[in-house]
Amino acid sequence: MVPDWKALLPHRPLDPDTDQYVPPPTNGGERIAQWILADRTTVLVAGPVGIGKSTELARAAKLLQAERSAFLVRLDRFENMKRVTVDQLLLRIAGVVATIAAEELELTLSFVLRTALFRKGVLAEKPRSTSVLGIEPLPPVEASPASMLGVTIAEIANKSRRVSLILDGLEKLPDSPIVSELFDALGALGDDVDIITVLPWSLAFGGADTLLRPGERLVALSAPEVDGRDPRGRDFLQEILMRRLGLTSEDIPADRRPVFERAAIASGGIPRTFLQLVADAGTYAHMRRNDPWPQIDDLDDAIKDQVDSFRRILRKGDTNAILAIEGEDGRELDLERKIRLLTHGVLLERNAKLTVHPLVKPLLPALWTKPDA
Amino acid sequence: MREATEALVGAIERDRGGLVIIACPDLRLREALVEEIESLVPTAAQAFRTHDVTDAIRAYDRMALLIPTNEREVVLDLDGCRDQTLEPARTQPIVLFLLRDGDGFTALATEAPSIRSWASGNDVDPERLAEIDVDHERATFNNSTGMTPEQWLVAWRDESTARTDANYALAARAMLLELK
Amino acid sequence: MKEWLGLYRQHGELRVDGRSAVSEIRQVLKHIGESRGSIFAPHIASRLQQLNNKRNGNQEFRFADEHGEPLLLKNHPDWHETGHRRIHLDEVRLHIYVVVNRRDNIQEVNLMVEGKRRDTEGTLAIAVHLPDDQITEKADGDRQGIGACGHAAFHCHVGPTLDALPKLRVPLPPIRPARALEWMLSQVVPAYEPALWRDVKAALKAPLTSA
Repeated sequence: MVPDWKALLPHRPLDPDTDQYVPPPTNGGERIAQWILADRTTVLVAGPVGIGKSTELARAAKLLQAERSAFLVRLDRFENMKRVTVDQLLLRIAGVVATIAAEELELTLSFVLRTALFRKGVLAEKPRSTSVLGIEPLPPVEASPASMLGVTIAEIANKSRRVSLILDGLEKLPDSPIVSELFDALGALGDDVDIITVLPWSLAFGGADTLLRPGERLVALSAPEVDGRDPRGRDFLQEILMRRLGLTSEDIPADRRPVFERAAIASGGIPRTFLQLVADAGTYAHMRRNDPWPQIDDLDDAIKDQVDSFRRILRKGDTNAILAIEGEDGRELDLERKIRLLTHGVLLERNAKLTVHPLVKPLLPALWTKPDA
Repeated sequence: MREATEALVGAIERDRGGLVIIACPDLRLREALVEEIESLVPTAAQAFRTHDVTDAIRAYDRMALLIPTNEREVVLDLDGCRDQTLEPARTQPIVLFLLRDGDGFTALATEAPSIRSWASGNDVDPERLAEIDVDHERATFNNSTGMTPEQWLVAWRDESTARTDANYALAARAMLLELK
Repeated sequence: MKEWLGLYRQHGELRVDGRSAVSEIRQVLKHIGESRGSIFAPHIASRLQQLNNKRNGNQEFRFADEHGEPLLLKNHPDWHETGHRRIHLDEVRLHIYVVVNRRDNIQEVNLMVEGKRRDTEGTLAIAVHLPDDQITEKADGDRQGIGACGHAAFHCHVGPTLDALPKLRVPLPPIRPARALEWMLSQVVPAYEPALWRDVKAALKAPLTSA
């Protein structure tokens, strides 16, 4: 079997109905669903880029479908999250929920509500009145976006089960008043709806405690260990790879298996980074030798590509700061730097301590030992 | 060992529909690098130039060569609209050209971690990759010819060196290395 | 004299926009690489590889395989075609060397294609040169030989090898190096013609558009 490296699509999260899902050792999606089913009304999700937040949210949505009317709202697929307003977000949530209700749950909302959402540009299809008696429809509703969202949720809950809103994309909101305004608006929906949302970066690694209210829960998604004796982290990444390629581990030539083992370790346990390394190495192998499988040299060059990327995001003072807190809990780190380095995955949280990502270590000679060939 | 052109092509080939970032030392070389990409990518990619993120996203089946007029704004827009490129699924990447030490890379590091993560490993600085270790290469030249590049070029320029294919290769290498 | 002087000046003007000239060469390689039944492997344009010397600002572009050797073109079934091709070549290698200086001028271009003739078991080499224009104590740059007629700056050689006598030096018109590459390859690559007569005829018939 010849692998198609382009099929790895490291940037693409999985959909809820995918058969490619591999539960991570930390089981984020399942934990999220369990907290909701245990009657926590709000679950906040945090984790570095590439850890699989969107995939775990999709998983949680699927797991909740048995007991909830669960709506996965991928806001960043519709809106420019850097320029959107709170009103636009609330309307978009209402529109996506109404669309999913119609298309997947076969729930038709009231003509009046659908017309109002269509007029606001968040419903694709113009509603047609279903009145068989020829009765004139009621005049259009003018209501605030928050109110329209509340009404949408209420109509669905009345016809179906308790609503769970799973909101993806909020981590991209700028560090501005829009964040607190939005969370206030979502909080105002009350306890009759579950909210699961990714935390904005500015709050994910600092300040989340001030956002948590009684009954709310923070689920932090962290990278599994991949460089120790426990093989679960490496096995997890390998399984993701095999499912995305449509292969089994027996398809990998024995002499090339160390390449994937090393890629897993180099990735620091971040699924996207692992897939990027493998895709990069596989592409080099194909271009250089028309070889379907990468060799260690190809992976070494892929690693150098990633190291260069990390080099470009380090700011003045980062190196000294990283060296100072490596292996510590990071409380001495200034908040802005801490948020930035944790968000980018330059620093990884492991057992309440901060460690430097393996791909950053070559940039810090004091911490780096060249791996054996 | 990574070669500059190979790294460029690899970055474009790696992801079907992802983001590639090309680091440009200055505006003149930015233009040269745009032309280089146009000469490297398959004709079927239908590469086109644009300054606008919306244009780039809309053309999901074409390779958008995104050349910003305001780098920070383009990076923020790409970050904010990142997942809009998933539906419909892009069949060609967006190739973003940023100045090496410019506002775009600063924004990637400080304000746009999501889009930075997508492009990780796919941000290439071909001009830097192409830089040789001059002292090492001069020593190699000396070891293989018994002459410095300058000495070798004296005979080449006065036409006393035979015009063979091997010597044409040496001539190009000597011109690359000569001290001026 | 006047026309030879004019040609020498025009050859000098070909040196500008060195990086663009390299990209144009890549475009030629790419278009041949994409054509049906191509003699080139995929990604052929990426084999024109770049090296930079930060100290003197010079750049070298070299067309090479993964071992740094001149690229061996695949033996393609069309090599055996009969028709207007009188010469069949085996083991055809393509050499491209371009040096661009810090002012983005082409310092030297050398394009060569060589192969083994099947009919005589000899060899054939076709080369296009634009020599180094650096004027030094002992050399006059691209003013080689004794004059601009017998030794035009931008010229080609055709022969069993580049050194075999008589070493004729044919002046080229002031066409970009990429066009010279097209000409060179049109002489040895079967059915390769970047300016088909039907397209030329159509262009001649088309009304002239105002500038």
